Amino acid sequence: MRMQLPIAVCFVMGAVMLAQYFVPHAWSQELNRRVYDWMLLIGVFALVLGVASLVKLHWQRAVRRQGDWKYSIVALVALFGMTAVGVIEGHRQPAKQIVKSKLSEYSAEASYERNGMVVMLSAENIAAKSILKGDRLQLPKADGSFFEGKIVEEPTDEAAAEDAPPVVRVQVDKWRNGDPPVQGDSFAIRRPGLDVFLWLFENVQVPLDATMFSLLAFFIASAAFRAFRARNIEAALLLISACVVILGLTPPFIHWWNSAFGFADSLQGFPSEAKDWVLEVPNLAARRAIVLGVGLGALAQSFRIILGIEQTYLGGDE
Amino acid sequence: MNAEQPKQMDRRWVFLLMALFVILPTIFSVTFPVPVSNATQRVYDKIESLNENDFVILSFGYGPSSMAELQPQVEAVLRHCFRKKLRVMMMSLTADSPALAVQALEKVRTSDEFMDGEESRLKPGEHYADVGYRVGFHLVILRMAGNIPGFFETDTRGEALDALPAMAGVSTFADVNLVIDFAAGDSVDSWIQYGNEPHGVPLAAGVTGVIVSQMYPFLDSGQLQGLLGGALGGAEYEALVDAPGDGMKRVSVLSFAHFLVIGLVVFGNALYMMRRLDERDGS
Repeated sequence: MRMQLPIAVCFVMGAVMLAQYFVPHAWSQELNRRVYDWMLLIGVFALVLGVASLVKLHWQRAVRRQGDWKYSIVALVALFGMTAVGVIEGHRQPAKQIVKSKLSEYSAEASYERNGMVVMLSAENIAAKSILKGDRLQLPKADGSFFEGKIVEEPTDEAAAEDAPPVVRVQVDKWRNGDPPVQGDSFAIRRPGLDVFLWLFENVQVPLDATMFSLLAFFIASAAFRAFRARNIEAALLLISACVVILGLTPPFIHWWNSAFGFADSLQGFPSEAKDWVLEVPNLAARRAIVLGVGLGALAQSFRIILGIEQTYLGGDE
Repeated sequence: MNAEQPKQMDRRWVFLLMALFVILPTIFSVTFPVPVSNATQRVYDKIESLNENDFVILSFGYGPSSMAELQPQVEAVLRHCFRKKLRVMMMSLTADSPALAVQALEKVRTSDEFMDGEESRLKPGEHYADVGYRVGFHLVILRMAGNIPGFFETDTRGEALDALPAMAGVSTFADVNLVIDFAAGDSVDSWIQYGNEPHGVPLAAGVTGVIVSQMYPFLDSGQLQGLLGGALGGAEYEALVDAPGDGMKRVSVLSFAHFLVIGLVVFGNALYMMRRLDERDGS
């Protein structure tokens, strides 16, 4: 039963989805949509499985002090650190100016109190719906810096005089850089966001990934020198093709070629044409054969799975 | 002596040479004119043929390891789209793409060309929509086909997509004038299988140099309207939109690395031939 039930489910779903592809009826399309939704959900569960497996592997290695266990600790700290920062900050957008206008003005409805104050903001492009609880109100100081407070309640639109710009009422608290004046002629609203997460991404992940990938240049150069040998006719053809494509992708060489053979119109652009010929004729033919072969193989394998002939995906032997 | 392994040159010399061939052109900012390939020209011509307010999807399927090659492509294409006043929707098929997409977008929208005083003329929701990352890869393409705003629901700011001017009149793939997939993996294959073939959505691609040769069958069959390949593709597009940037700088530096690799291959083969001759004479 442990084997038959999954095989039966696989057969039914495979056959139904195969038939569904050829049926344009609305019910068929609805079934299609729902199955895709299920697959999306199952895909998310696979992520959970992957993370659990990763944590288990590195945790065991760290606990048992196996080889390179210190790197396992780094991996776990990075995994949980980035996740924590993402969860804490992820619901917000990147920091940005929401409102910034020289024509704007503000006034405090009540005098400043330690626990916050209500501020009426007036500007041509302001609306309560564009400001969120948690945004920061910045009021300029004479020395070029600014007072900054946190908007702690949902902003509301207020009635404005006729022909006057719209007015929004905000409750601001947790001021930094001192007590702001109760009136002024300019302000800005900043939305804090994925600062730490983006900082980690741009200053840790991007350089690390770029560095790892950059190492390829060194290894490719070394491998080309040590292993790329014209040992026989086939290897020599491969070598020549590679050189033709590389030179055809190298603007200085093309520039030099066109200058050196400027006297012969038929030779102008020859490196690019030779590169295009290699890519569009022999490469294309070989790639097409591979794609067709993979396609036919996938079709045969799919039928084997649907019909229960192929069972290795269940963890058993064929 | 083994003819297969030349011992005269320690591979650390190869590493040192490669470092010099990359660092020196970078320091001295050497650049060369870039001829435009037919595959790149076709992407440009396709975007040129679109009308104002046409709708373009930029799909991101690459991470930081490939950004040196693909980011210049994205920036140049975005610049072209905004110049043509096309509406752009950005979506990510891999988890580490959204930040790179935003980085490219911000670089273009805050460039002098699109600034009006202190503000960019390009507004979120009006000229473009960023829907961020959705898990599922090809399933995302399958699900969005019938109802794009219904599948994504909101942009990354939390605004409802069907209320945005950038998405006005856009419902299914039939309303999409072009998809450009920037990929370091097999997302182009997914777009062809689940977007282009069943729904006829016009598709172009920008890919890394490693996988560009795999794309030629699709270019030849017309399933891809055009193709940007690697750093050179970015440099070519920068030349086409007359906005020289990182692509042109990088491809010039890359050219020196190409010369070194070819030089090393020739040198290695010369050593190999000499040893073969020595061995033949000795025996």
